[in-house]
Amino acid sequence: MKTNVSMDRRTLLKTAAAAGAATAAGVLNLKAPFVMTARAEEAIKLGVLLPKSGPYTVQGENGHNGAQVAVDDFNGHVLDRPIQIVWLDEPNPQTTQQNMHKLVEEEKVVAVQGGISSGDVLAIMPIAERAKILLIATGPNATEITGKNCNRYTFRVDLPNKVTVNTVYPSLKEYGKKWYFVSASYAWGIDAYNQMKDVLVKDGGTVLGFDQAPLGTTDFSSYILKLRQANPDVVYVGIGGSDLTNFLKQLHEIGMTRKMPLSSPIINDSDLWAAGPEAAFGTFPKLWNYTGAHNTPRSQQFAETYQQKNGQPPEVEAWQDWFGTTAILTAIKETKSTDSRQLIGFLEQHKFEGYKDMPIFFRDFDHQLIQPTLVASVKEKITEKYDYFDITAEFPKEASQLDAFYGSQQEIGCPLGSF
Amino acid sequence: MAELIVSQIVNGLVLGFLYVLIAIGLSIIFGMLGVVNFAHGVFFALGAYFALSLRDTVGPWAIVLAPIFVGAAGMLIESSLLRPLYSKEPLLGLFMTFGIALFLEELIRTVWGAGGRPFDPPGMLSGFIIWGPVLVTKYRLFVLVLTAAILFALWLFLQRTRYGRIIRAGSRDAEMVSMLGINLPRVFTFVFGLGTALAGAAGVLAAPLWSVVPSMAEGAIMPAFVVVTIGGLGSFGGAVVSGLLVGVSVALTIQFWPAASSAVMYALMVLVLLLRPRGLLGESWERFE
Amino acid sequence: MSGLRRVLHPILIAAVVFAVLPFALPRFGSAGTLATEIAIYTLYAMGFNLLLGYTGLVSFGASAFFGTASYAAGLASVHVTANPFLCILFGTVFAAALGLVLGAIILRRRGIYFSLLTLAFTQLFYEIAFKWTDFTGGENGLQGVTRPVLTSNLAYHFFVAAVVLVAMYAIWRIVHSPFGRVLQAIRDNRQRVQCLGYNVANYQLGAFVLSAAVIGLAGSLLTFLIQSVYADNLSWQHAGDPVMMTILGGIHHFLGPLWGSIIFIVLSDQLSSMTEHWWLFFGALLIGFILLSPEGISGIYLRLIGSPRWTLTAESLPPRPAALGLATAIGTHAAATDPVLTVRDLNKRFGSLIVAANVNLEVRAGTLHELCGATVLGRARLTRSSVGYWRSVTYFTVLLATAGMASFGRC
Repeated sequence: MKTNVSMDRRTLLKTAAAAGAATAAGVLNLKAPFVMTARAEEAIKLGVLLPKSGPYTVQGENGHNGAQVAVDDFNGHVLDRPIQIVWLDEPNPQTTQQNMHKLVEEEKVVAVQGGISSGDVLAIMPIAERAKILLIATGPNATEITGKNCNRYTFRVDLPNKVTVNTVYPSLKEYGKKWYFVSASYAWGIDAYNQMKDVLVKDGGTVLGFDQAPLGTTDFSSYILKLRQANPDVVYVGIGGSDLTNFLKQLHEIGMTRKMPLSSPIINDSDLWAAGPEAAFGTFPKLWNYTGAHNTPRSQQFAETYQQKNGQPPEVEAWQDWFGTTAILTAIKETKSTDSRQLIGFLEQHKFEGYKDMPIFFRDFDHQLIQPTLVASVKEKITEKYDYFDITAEFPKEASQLDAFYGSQQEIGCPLGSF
Repeated sequence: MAELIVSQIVNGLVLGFLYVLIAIGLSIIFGMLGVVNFAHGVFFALGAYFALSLRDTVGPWAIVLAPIFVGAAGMLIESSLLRPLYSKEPLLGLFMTFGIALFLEELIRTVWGAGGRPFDPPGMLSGFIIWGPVLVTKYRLFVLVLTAAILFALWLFLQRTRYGRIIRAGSRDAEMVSMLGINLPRVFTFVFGLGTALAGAAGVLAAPLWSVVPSMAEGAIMPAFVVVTIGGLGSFGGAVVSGLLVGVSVALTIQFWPAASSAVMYALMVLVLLLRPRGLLGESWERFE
Repeated sequence: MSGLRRVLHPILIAAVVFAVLPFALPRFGSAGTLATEIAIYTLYAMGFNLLLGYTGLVSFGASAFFGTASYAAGLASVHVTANPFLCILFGTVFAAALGLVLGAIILRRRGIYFSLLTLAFTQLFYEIAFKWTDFTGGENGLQGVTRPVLTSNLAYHFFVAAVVLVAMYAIWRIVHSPFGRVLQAIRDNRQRVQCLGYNVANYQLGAFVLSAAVIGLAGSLLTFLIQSVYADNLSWQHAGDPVMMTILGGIHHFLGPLWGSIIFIVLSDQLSSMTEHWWLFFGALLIGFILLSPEGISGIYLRLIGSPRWTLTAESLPPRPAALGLATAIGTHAAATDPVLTVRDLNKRFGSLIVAANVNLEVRAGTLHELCGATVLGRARLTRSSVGYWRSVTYFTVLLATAGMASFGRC
């Protein structure tokens, strides 16, 4: 009897110890980010800086999911080492900078990609240069990133404002030359207005009116009253995100949907999805769309894989980050190295085939991704939940015109320099 | 041009009514509980999101049920999180609503997703009416009428019923009311629920107009503060007058100097606070000073 | 125990923490540069707490000074001189001057009106900074700030730590000085301090300017840490940063801002890398702290060691001053027949309820007076009116007949 009890006690203690160890292990697992594991040495880490909260969360999620698809395309391995994505938040320039430090110094990533907001990217570009690490900016549009602020370590996937203007203008001008502009009253919005205004005026058009709306304006009804009074041929807005959704909803409310064409320098699918099939309309320059004849088999494969994994089709941001990650992984694979200089050398020379219907490449004197762009119009009748766009045109028509479309070296004025 | 200005003024009035509906809840809560409810914007957003989810199941009844659910959530939060703080340092209530705002907005994002959700106005209310120089959309007219009705009902409640009298007295001197034998904690909970339900109702009405995103909470809280400050903390009439004033000011600023249309709100707020801090129709209550 | 307490001077504790942080943080997976940010935000929260914990003023304007000073220092660096020390000095002085101007305007209001004014000004400044792209760089921020000296992260960290510690020590000395004591008295009982003859408005303005200067110093240091300036910190969403840090650390504790900023910065760093929905945990944490420990982590610690009290100042009593400046004894100077306190034409009403009408009263030295009135409340209010409790008492003059003491005026 006694031995039984002591046996029980021993077993009890053993199980308690085991349970304790398991909990500790569980706790340690939870604390994995706190403690560096030895296993980290063998994995190839890719840093991703995209928003986890705030107004661009949807783009952040899309981008991260897109990057993950790229990793899966490589079966999770490159150079016989596992690939690990480290996703840190991009909430504002200051914190993004700190997170960049973290990626470079603590996580020791091989390369960093991401950046929705130009301000955030401008903040981390100097760090990429100082730390001599490859940075692929997939999301921002500011001209300076491949212009006067450029550096050897930064590449950009998204379209600069000038290219979007030239893409969509030919489609819009046939409706008339009297345009009305509404822009968010900060640098990007005003730049959007200036870029398009220059093109319009040079072509003999007139600006009927230009209104600035504070960022975060919820109610555009007063702006729309002014717009309606002016009766323009085309409305061009430098507004994005939920502000654009509000604008579209309120246009619909007053019955002005599709009365005249609407456009803006960039468009996120989720802004239109949020406006709903009744209110969404417009003709926009777009980097990529998940439906459309222009889609190569490879990009189509990406769209299908993404939809399978995430339950809804990819936004354009997802393609941008998918391509960015694929570019990095391809560079690693081909150069058989993780040294940033080698990767950069590779990216400056390589032509990526099969992603779009002409080869695309990073230009060597400014590191801008040279790619054809699309003109996407919202369908007249939207029947499926996410299928909003018809692709009406592609620019440029010939691969030989690609380089000129993005501006000459003189125009860009990027002092790239050496390593 | 004159026609356009008249239209803008009418548009501003309608916008103003929506601001009033958002702000009146804040004002009531502040008057009674002395708590600056930083979470007010989130309850506004909750109203829109509840309506979104309820619309598929109960159809038009969502417009009534959603605010009720928001009020219930408000009462639950008040009794569990705010009540323990009344006997303590007054600042803690303010900080608590701050924490609640952070938590609830992220909860909305987690449950309903970060992307905007489409929300159309009911079919019969689409289109607009032209009435002489005035152009107003049918839905906004509906909002105006409904908001006016809600405000009138609220006014009747506060002025003519016994419970309303308790609330008005409690805003003046809560201690005295409790000394008269009235169960103050229960009154507080009810008032908080009422205030948040009003915010939720505003959210439901605004959902077809403004995009339904988690950050819509932030678009509501600052105008609410401005309106309540200008009108007078705790004053019903003040909230109505200042809401309309702010709405019209913003509309006219958009007409003539659009870039300043948000700054004009804060400038007005500063002006009122400096020249007449109790607001246009507020009273000089020592407990605020 | 008291000997140990004397050794563990708060500045010493802070110094040790700042020295250890850049080495400790990487072991937990955070960047080493976060340590410098923690030091800067400690100073920021401390400047904020000068107003909240010590003077009792709830100001949402801290971020206005933080952001504006950052811009001042940054713009000086880009346009005037590359010397970071001069730029930091300029940012601090600029913030102090701004504090003087704003304080003179805003402090005319009290209570919730004061707080709302600070919030409105913060938002106005943000709008200006965000839109004035040509000057401030708008949303892309002010770029091109360089740090030609102290280039390594560690060197700059120790510089910042040194500056912060000196500033903290200055604050420690100030809150123990007569000026600081009066501030804390104002927090506890404003009317009494006013009736004692202190010019409360001037003291509050002094506190406001001091707070602005400290916060400005923090903002200028930040400019050279990230070598750019952004408008973000001015927005009302960030106005809550020092508030949250102070609550988490403990409002009524000298080192509260230090612990609060460590928790705030490290936790948000760790949580955001673990999950997308980290605000859920953060919001819940804040709510939990407010409910369970209103004095934050300092409160929890002090309760654990069994001495729950405020630690805004050292525990010892200040030495008795050689001479008390303000009040003089009246006993020996007044003749027995001369009134010591005269009340003329005292009126007090609450709406239509008249509490006192045309009350005249004379109190002589060494005599006892009985107030007879209809209600207890009425008599109490009369007394309170006589000694200046109600601000809105009209039509009455109080003369205090003592030699060498100026008229009381209206307090």
